[in-house]
Amino acid sequence: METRKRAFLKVIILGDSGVGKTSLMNQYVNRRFSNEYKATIGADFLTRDVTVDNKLVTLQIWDTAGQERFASLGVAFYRGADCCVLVYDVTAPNTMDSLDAWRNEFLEQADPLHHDEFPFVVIGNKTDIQAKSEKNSVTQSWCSGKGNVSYFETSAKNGSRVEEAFQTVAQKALEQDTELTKEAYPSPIQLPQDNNKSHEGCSC
Amino acid sequence: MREKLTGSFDKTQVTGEVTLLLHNFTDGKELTDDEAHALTDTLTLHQAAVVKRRIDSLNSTLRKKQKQNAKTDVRDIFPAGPIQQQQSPRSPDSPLTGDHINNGFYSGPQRSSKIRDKGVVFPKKGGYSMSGKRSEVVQDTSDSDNSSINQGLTSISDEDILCEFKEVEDSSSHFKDLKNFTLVHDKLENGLFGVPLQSLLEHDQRVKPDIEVPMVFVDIINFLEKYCLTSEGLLRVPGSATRVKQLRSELEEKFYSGTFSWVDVVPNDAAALMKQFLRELPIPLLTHDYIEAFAQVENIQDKKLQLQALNLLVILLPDVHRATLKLLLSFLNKVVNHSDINRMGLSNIAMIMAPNLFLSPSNRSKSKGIKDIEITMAAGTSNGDFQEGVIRIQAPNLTKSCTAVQLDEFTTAGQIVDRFRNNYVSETRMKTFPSREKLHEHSSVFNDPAKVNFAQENTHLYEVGGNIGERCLDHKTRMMSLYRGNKCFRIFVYILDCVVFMFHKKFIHNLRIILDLCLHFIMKKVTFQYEKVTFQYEKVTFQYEKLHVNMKSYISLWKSYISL
Repeated sequence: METRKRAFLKVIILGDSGVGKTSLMNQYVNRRFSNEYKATIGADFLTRDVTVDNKLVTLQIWDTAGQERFASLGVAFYRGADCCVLVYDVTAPNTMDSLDAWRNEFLEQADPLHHDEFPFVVIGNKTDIQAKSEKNSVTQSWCSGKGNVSYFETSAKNGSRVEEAFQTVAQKALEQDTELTKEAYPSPIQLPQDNNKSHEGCSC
Repeated sequence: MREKLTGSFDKTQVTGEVTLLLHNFTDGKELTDDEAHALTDTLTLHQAAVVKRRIDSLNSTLRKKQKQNAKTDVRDIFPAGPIQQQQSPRSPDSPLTGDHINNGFYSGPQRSSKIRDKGVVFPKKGGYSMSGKRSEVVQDTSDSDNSSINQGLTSISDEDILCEFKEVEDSSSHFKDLKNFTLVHDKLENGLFGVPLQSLLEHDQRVKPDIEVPMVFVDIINFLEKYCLTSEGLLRVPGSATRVKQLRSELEEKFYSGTFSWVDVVPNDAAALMKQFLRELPIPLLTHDYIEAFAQVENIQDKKLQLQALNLLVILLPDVHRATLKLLLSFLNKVVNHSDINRMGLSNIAMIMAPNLFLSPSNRSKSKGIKDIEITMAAGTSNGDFQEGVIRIQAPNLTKSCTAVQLDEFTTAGQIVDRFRNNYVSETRMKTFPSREKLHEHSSVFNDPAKVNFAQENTHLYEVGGNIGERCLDHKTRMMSLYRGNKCFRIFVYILDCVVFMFHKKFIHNLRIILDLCLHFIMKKVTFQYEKVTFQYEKVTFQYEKLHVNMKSYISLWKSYISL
C-alpha cells in the first residue's frame, strides 16, 4: 500500500473575519502576500507537500470565511480534519475572545473522536503591525488550559514564524492521523449482518 | 358560499367576543359571507366606524406581512364587497404562526380569560381549538357545520357586545391590550429590532411627521457616516459579540427615551448592529414581493433593460423601504468612496452586504438550501474582479464552496473533474461510501482501479445558469471556448442618485414563475405608484416615464423568457 505511506492531512483555518486566514495560507503555500483586502466566501483550499519526521505528507489547507453570515456554512468540510488552526489578530483583542467560540464550533461540527485531545494551533497574526500581542499571556494560558494547543505569533505579511507554525500544524496533524489510523485499522468494522442484508436485497 | 380562509380574520377585535372569534379564525376556521355580515350587523354605526379604523390600519400591516405567501391573492378569490376589507390572507408558514398568535393574544391575559369565562360566543366551545394546529382545524370543519358558527355568532345579543365594547373603550389598559393583539405593535412596544420598517416609521412619525426612514436606522447610519468611514474593514470585520449584544439592548432600552449615547461606540460594533437590523427585519428591505425579482434582474442580458427593470423595482418598493434602501446605499457608496483608507471596495461591500439584503423568506428556518443560495448570491457579487479565464467550480456534494480554476486553451472538462477527484480523495470517498467508511477516513479506496474508473465515469462537470438551466459537459469539452461563449460572470452596477448598487448573479431556476410574477406586478402596479414617484423623486419620475414608453419591450422580453 504505497499511498498510505504518504499521509494526506486535512487542516482547517478558522477565525474572525479580517484576521488574515487567507493571507496566512497564501504565505505558507505560495510564499506570497497580497495587499488585496478581500473577504473569503465559503472556503477554498490549497495543498502543500511538507516533510515531517522524514515523512513526506500532503497538507490540504482549508481556508474558511470568517464573515458571520458565512461562518456557519463552513461546517460541512470541518469533518475529517486532522488539525485545526485558530487565528486571531494581535492588533484586535476582541478577535482573541472569539477563539473559544470558534473552537467549540469546530468541535461540535467536526465531532472528532476525542474532543479534549484534538490538536489545535493558535496563531496570533499581524505581528508586523504590532510586535507583541497584548493578549500574549491571556492566549498562552488559554492554550495551556485547552490541552493539545500550541501558540504562535506570526506575520503573514513578512512571513515571520509562518513556516514554524505550519510545521507544527503538520506535525500535530500527522500525529492525529497516525493515532486515528491506529484506532481504525486494528479492528476493522465487522458488518456480518449488513452483508446478509445486502444479499437479501440483491436477490429480489 | 363557503370560503376557505387560509389565514386570519383579524379586523374586528374591538369587541371581545369578536376577538375570540377572530382567534378562531387565526386558527384556520372557516367563515361564510353571512357570518361576516352577522358580525357587523350587530354593531352600531359608531362601533362600525371604530372597527373600520382598526381594520384599515391592521389591513395595511398584515397585508404587507402576508404578501410573501400571496400566491393567490385574496382579492382574486373574493369578489369586491364590504366583507372583503375584513378578510386578509395569511398562509400557514407566514411569520405569524399559530403559537405566536396565541402568545400575542394572551399578552392580554385578563381579557381573554374573562371572555372565556363568559362563554357566550360559542355554544360548542370545546370544539374549537386554540392551538392553531391544522389537523384540529380539519377535524373541526368536518364534524361541525359552519352554520353552527353562524348560530353562535348571531346568538350574541347586542347587550353582550355593548358591554364588552364599553369595557374596551372605558379602560385604557384594555385598549392597550387590544393594541398588543397584533404582534407588530406588541413588538414595537418592546423594541427596534425585528420590527417592520413601516411600524417603526409609523411610530416615529408621531414624533416627527415628515420623517421617511425609521429614526433608529438613520441614527446608526449617521454614526457610521460621521465617525466610521475611515475604519479599516468596516462592515467586514466583526464587532465584539458581547459588546454588540450590550449595545443592542441599550439601544432598545434607551433609544426612544433619548438617553442613548453613541459616544465610545466602536465602529465595527455599530456596523454589526446595522447588519443585524437589516437581517432581522420581518419584511426584508427589498420586500418579499420583489426580492426575487431584484435577484433576477441580473439575468436580463440587455444592460439598458436591466437598469430599467431595477429602476422599476425600486419604484415598486414601499416608500419606507425605498427611502431606507436609498439611505443605506448612499452610505455604502460613501464607504466605497473611502476604500483607499477603509479598504472596503465595491466588490467587498457587495459581497458582505448581499447576504444581509437577499434573505429568503424562510431564512429563519436556516435550511440548507437557503444557505446555498446565499453563498451563490454572495459568490456572484465577488466575481467582478476575477481575472480573465478563471471559472468557479462548485462541487455541491463535496463542499459548499466554489473553487476557482484558471483555464488555458487546452483545459477540458475531464481535466477539471480529475483535479477535483484527486483533490477531494477523502471527501469523494465519503460520498461514494456514505456511512461505513467514516472511520477509514484515510484508507485508500481509490487504490482499487475499478472504483477509480467508476468515479471517473460517473463524475461530470455541469454548466449551470444562463438560459440553459444545467447541462452535462462531455469530458472532452474545451472549457476555454465554452467560457468565451458564455461568460457567466456578469456584474451589475446601478446608479440611482449617484448611489452604486451591486447585484449578485443567481441561477435562473424558477425564472418562469418569477418573471410571470414580475409581469403581473408590473401590469398591476406601475400606474398605481405613479403619483407617489412623481412626488418623491424627480429623477425617478423621468426614468419612469421612459419606462412607460418601453413597456412593450419589457413585456416582450419577459415573454421571451417565459416561453423558454
